[in-house]
Amino acid sequence: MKIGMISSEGGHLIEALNVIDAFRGHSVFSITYDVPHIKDFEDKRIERSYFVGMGKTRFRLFFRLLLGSFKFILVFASEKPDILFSTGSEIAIPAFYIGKYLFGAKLVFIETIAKFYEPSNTGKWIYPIADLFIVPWESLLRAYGGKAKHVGDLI
Amino acid sequence: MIFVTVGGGPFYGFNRLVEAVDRIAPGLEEEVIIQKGCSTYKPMHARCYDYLPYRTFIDYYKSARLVIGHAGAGTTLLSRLFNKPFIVVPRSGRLNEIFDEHQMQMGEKLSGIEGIRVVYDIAGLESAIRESLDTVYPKKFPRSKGIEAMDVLIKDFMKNV
Repeated sequence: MKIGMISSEGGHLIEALNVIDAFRGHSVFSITYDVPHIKDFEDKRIERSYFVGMGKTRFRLFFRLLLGSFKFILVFASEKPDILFSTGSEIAIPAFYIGKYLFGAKLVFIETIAKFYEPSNTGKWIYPIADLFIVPWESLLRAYGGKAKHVGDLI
Repeated sequence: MIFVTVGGGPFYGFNRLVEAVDRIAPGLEEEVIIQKGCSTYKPMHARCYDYLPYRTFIDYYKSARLVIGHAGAGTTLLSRLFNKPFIVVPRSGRLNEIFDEHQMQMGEKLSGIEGIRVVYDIAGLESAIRESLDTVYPKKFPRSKGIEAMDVLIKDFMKNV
């Protein structure tokens, strides 16, 4: 199967790599933000890496993500992912909506380990459309609905 | 080598930690390397970078004897993955070091885990560093069983895709 790993470039990327072995034996590509210090990103479990633009202020970030959405469409059209997988952050929102409704991909989301009692903003957007939604702390089960799953702490 | 990383993305620096480490660095036997992100304090003693390229960052992580960082997800996970003793200084939302108090909650979750020291009051950083360097740790820290369980959960899910 073809897996698309979507994440912002910092801690969320490390969170994704922390659990990426679950997809071993499948072909994984990644999409992260386009920032200078991630250009040399390399991980032997990732076959190809794509980068989308990012603004320096939150205001610009919104518009760059909107523009980035065209890049998601181009990448998904050529990669044809069966599953999209993310640990956040907001870069996953346009990617997941486009992936699901234009390309029929199944969605796997793992909430960040940095949230304990309240949903992340990204989690709130993704929860309604996710096919598998995992929370890393039991205390988060109450914050979401019955679809959320918890199987153990990830630290 | 002691590797210091404060993450924080493009919005939040962490001067409180960077400044304290820089002040302590000259009195230590170990070399100190800092990735300060967008912190505005300019270290005078320790070697310092704004952002290191990904592979260099990972290399420094791997070769560090001790890692000092904020209570971020990536910083914490890499410390466990590479079996590094880790001193964690949670950012305070009250001091505008981050947008809320989630790093304080992370600090609570991490306290008591082998190899991790949580420092809330920066005055306690130097003694935490010295204690860490004096402690003999196992070569490997245990990984959470939750990762294996999630592995199984995702594989089961994939059977039905």
